[in-house]
Amino acid sequence: MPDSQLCTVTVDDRKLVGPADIPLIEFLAGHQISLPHICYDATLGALQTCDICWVVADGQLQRGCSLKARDGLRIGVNDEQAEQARREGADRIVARHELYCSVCENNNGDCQVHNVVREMEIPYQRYPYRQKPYEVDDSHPFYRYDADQCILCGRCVEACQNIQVTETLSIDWQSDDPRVLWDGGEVANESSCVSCGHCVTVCPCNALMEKTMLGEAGPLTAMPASLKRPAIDLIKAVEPTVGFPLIFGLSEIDSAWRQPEIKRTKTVCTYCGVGCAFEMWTRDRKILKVQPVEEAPVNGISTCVKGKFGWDFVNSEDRLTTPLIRDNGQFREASWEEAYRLIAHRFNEIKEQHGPDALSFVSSSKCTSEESYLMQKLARAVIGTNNIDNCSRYCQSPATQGLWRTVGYGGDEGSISDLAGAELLIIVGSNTAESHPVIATRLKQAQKHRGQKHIVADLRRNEMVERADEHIHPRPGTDLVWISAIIKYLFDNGLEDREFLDAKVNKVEEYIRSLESFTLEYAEEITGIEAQRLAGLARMIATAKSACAIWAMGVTQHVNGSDVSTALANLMLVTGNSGRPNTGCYPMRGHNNVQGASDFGAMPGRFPGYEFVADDAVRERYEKAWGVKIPSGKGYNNHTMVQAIHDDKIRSLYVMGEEMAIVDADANYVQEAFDKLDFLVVQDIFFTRTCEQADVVLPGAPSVEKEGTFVNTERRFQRLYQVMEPLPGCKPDWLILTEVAGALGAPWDYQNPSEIMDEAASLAPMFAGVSYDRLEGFKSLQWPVAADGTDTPHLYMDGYPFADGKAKLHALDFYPPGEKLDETYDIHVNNGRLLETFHEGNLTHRSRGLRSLVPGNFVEVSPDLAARRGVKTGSLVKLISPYGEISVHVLVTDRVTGNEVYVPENATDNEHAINILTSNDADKDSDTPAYKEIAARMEVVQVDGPPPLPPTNHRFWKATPQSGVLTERKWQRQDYVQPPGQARNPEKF
Amino acid sequence: MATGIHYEVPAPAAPDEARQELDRLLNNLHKHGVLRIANDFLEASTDVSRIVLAGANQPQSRNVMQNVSLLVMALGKVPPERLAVLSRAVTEGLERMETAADERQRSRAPGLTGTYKLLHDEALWSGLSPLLEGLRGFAQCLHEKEEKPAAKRHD
Ligand code: SF4
Ligand code: SF4
Ligand code: SF4
Ligand code: FES
Repeated sequence: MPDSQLCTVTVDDRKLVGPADIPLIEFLAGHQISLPHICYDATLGALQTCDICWVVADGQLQRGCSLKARDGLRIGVNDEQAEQARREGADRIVARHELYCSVCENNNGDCQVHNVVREMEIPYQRYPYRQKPYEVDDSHPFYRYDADQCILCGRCVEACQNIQVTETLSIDWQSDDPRVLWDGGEVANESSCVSCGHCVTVCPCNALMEKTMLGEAGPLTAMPASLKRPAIDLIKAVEPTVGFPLIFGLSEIDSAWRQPEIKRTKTVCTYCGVGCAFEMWTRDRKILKVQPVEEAPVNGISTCVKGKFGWDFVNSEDRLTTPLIRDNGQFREASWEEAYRLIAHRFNEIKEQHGPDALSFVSSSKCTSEESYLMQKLARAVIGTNNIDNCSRYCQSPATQGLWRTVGYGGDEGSISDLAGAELLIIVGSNTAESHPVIATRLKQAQKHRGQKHIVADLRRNEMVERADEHIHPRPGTDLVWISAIIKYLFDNGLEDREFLDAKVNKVEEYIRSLESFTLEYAEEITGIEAQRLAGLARMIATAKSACAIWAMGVTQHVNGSDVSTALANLMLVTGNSGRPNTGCYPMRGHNNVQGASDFGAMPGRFPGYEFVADDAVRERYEKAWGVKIPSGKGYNNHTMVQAIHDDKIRSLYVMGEEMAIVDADANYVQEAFDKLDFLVVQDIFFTRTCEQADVVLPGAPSVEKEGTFVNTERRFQRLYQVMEPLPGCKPDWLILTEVAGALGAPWDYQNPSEIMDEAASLAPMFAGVSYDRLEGFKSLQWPVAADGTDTPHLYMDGYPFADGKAKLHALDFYPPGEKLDETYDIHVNNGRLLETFHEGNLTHRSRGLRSLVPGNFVEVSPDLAARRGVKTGSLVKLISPYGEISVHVLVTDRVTGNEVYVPENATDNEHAINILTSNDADKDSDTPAYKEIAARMEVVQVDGPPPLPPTNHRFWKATPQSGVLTERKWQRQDYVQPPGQARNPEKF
Repeated sequence: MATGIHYEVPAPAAPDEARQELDRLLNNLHKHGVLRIANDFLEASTDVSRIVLAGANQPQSRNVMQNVSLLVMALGKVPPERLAVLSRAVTEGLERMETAADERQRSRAPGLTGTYKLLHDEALWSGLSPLLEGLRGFAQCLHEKEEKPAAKRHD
């Protein structure tokens, strides 16, 4: 560290040198001086509520957490006055918080209240502990609040208001008995709380506890409540005689007892492309809790409801635990050997009769990169076909296409920190707060704390729209037009970044010519957005010093999905928002490993690292390594496979970890295709709709039962460790693929996924330096990774991966949506995710808590349409498109307008699944289905019916935003006395 | 032809009755923490004794064992004259456990089935029985105490 960043602080007459401008608490910790503190936290900052960290600074008593290290600062820690003040602070804490550590679920060695009171060697209780006039709040499905144990540190409030930014929590400092409130009320489950778990994670004691921990954490916590209370009272009865050492002696023993049984394993979330990593605490197969940690590179202490609370599916009773074989019109259980023998026999037979290209393979964006690598190797090296794809075809291929055309790499340009640092975000067709919840927290933070501006284009009033600085609602499928019109306006008015274009971008003039028809007036006519509004937005974008474009399925799942993605990349280039910090394009990768599945070659035309199969030199490299011949022709992708099955070109399909029968568009057509297959192998953890048509079903393992890596939306590799053994009968998917290859005669001998990664890294230059050692623990790498391990947090800093190092603008025409509304089909059916569910729901439906939040599927209908059709919340309607019909209950909400309705993806059967309605239309450049283009009609089945969401659902409640904990209100209380002065009623604050 | 067939994943296989009974018993013990205490104690005994001994060595804090004894006294069930015996037993037990624990490979917690196997280990039973006996006494004492209304707050 250069000297200019160091400072000298005098602590009790010792001169200490360390980094300047860091919190004093951290500075002191760097010198092994522990300044007691409870409310301070590195992520949350100085809340100044606990009154424990007093020091004398510059001659005055001050809270240490509020100070930063600076040159010349003099502080007294061992100063008598400071010591007294700290003691008074600690005495107040134990007046509010009953120490019954041995029977407390939080006594796991990391309870801050426990540790501080013990370290301060507080000998006994000076102020009597007093109960508060509140019952324990047990209402919430995932956590419990006990006001009696709450020390009013405000960490939960800060986390909710300023980290998660849902803004539910507050403390009523002025009330007679302050407590934590949810939307100003006392019932957690009747609030806007989105169950992200931040508050529970940061609570320094047991006031907020995960319910999964209750009675489970330690040997004594299992004591029935009828014993627990007397035991506590008993200990409290002897405590005046023996003091706190008794409590701490017992609780330390208890805490040590717990350690051998509680296993803490780092894993990576399986529910979205953000890539949150955390520790999972387990005892055997019981998941005690998910504990996020500061050092997780993506999320730190953050999670969303699924990552924090949605894991019970792994212990669901209906997990598949044995291979199944179709036999005489039913499934029978079979041994692994028999299943493998049958697969090998049928694959060989079909290959002999119809050639290798009659077989096809679908890998999973939920499985690990190593597993995708093996799936493509199985297809290419063992069978000899390039018919391999993965389900990113359903979501993100158009974005990749758009980036390949313009900037070169099919991945987000920078990191989440770039998004947080940008001055302006342009968010198009991305319900970030529900689909990428932890990224959304960073964006909401930047907006709330640093004035970041958000332009949001969306059909539906989701949270990003509600918080937007500018919201536009273009007509469905017309994004290309308004984006292009804005770009034309920029050029017409000299607002483009000419210097950047001249230095770094090709095909500028050609592109300008292509824009001719995209006038603001034309855009207004097509999109419905006023010309002047667009001009204003153009100026806003042009004047921002840094901007990023974020988009998701609202852009990609259209017939022109690749084009709109390209248009956004064009916009970023034209405004010079690329190749420097806080700029660039950020398609939000949907599933946990959408990025990795494609990165590792589960694509019909590309090897791992996106090298072309058609490239002779590259193919030769793989042929040499694998000792086989590989065909050079591009294979079928997920979507074209279905047609190829109908056309009798494909006879066999092997699907790993995908509910293809429900999640591909025009599901009836897909299911009909499956009927025609000669042989279908499905590998999954549950008996899915796709399994119903299988000939062989193989029971795989969820992420927590295996090792591997995922690549998140920032191109970041992270390792997942095995939390628990596979359920008896199941196998990790990489092992199944290895054994299937073995049955087919291939000499595969992988003992551990690290060997698979080593092989991939040795073959794909883009991942040359990736190894399990470099990814140990919470370490991560962002591709491309050079052989020496240097990674790339931000692409294009030194140019673009094209011959001359320049990016290119890509000319585009407007293709209108495939499905148009008419008199028969007069309703536009939008669709997508919900916060509480993952994709079709095979995993999240099996989480009791998550299911209680959203018990079934529904359709959101605008108040206006509801009035016109005479339906209300609860009514049962049929949605009928030219391709099929579904029945769903109505939820009337102003999140949608006019004749636009919204159906979540959340369904695993043909009765309710959105893809019964979708057409077979697809993006013209990437074959990604045009899921967002549905024209349907609505028929009322029954007017009265049960509301589809429980009244406790967070969507029905109004948050209570405030700037933070508002500690000054506590200081303003009549009865507040600053330590070391003695408090009259310390339990009140 | 791959026409859809529905298939119900059967509930996890039911064990035979005697085994089931035993499992139920084990499960109950497990649920109520009794076996966990025993298992954890065996696993952690080195740590536990270290803490106990470290605590005992601190001049200003009371000897943790004394405190435990105080607690037992407060229960009013152990005649004071037996305290010496008790603390000797505890010390000796801890020492033995420490030796034993050092010899054992530190392994995963045995879990329910592991515990089942352990149950057939005579030596283990004889080692554990005083501890379990003590716990039983403790629990009984607690049962005898009248429940306070406040108990429900911590359900
Ligand atoms: S949204 Fe709910 S779970 Fe998340 S921090 Fe706020 S109160 Fe806690
Ligand atoms: S509930 Fe909130 S205010 Fe109370 S102790 Fe926990 S974090 Fe602090
Ligand atoms: S679903 Fe996404 S945001 Fe939520 S915890 Fe998992 S990775 Fe994080
Ligand atoms: S840590 Fe400083 S007041 Fe709480």
